[in-house]
Amino acid sequence: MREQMKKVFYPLHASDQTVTEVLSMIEKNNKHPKPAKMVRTIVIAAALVSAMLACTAFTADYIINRREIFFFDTIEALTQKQQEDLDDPDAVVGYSVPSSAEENADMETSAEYVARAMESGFYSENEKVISRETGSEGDDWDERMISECDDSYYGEIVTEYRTSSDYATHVTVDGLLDWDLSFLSETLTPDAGGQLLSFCRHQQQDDFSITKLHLGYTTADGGCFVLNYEYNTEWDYGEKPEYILNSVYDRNELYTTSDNVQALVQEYDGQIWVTVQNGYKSVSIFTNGCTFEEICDDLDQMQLASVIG
Amino acid sequence: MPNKEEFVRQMRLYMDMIFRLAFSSLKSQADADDVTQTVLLRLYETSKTFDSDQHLKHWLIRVTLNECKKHWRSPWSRTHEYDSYVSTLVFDEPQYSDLFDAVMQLDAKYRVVIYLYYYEGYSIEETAGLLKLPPGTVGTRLRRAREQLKYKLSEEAVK
Repeated sequence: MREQMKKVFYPLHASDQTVTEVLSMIEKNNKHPKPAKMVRTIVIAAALVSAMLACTAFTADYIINRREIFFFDTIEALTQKQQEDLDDPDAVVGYSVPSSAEENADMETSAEYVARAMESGFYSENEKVISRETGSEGDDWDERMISECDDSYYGEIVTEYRTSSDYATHVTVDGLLDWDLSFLSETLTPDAGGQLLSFCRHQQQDDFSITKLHLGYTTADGGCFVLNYEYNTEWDYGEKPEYILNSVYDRNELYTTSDNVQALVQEYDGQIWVTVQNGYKSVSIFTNGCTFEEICDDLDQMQLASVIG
Repeated sequence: MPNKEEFVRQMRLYMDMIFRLAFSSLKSQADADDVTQTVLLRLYETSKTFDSDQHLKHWLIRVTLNECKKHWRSPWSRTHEYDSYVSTLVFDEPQYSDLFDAVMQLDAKYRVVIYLYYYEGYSIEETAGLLKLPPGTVGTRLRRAREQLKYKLSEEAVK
């Protein structure tokens, strides 16, 4: 098998222009070096990083990527990075400036989000729904859609949507998730119609692709609390994912939960975003009705080590 | 930074390895070439010193895998030049072309372990270290890849 595989990969070669292209890029970089005050790359030990994170007077924006830290000395430098990434529609969201509470006032409710999913799914412009059906008694799904995309390599994708108010307190997915969220109901009210669990698989290979969970709640003072979970076999965040801390936010921290999971918690204009990523799994929260400390308490109770481990 | 002659020597030595790994991951010649150039530029700019050629190769593989992740934003955003590029490849015998097609139909996570284990000759433990995965996971992926290849190739034989 080894000898056969050598013959399989051997015909693949880098472009003949690779060497000249790289030398050309080096020469260009030497003629126009990056201004030292705009971006510096420094390798710093974890202990020093923690000390810097604790310093509230520290004004630079930074990205933690493995053990390299990129510093932007000014918001203009961060903005320039945003501009450079504009051509990449999938640029990391952390570069963006958050929306204000006023801008988010008309945000779709969880019930509206769930209704939209059940009506038309969530597909990009390259995808097309080719069939849909509503589940009947005995089916363990409420809606099923089959879609296809321009890239025929992936074939048809089957997506099944399931709704249940029970998900607000407990979510079980065989072999993947057994999540007790009952503690949230002590301070939050589950939104009627605001819970959705969806599963994607490749029709031809019948292999699992993505599981998504969306849970909507209302806080005591009428604010929203949205919890999302995703297990995506096509995207690996790695064991040390890239968390982006941006000092445009009023406050941001890498919070370590009581079960030793690292979560990015960011606050702006009375709104809080939480991001937790590991391997193929991610958890995110958005709320405009909780304090920073309340969110950290919730994270401590979420058993994230078993959810995304 | 290395002197130019040494750097050109390193580029010629490793660029095909980087390209093959990137292509295995991304299935796109254009993306694989982009990643190859980015990784080589990173090699030029790094201040890291390498104990051996093996150490350097290990570093290049890790950087390549990380750069491929940045290209892997959406499974639907792949370019379509794959077929035209593959038609230019020359294999010793038709059976290797069939095997290439079968390998490329596998999921990316299987293609990468196939490449590292069979082509680059890394052990399961070494492959696990490169991919930051448990050895058991690598073993499972190799086994599933072989099963899927066997199935795909027997399907083609029946046709």
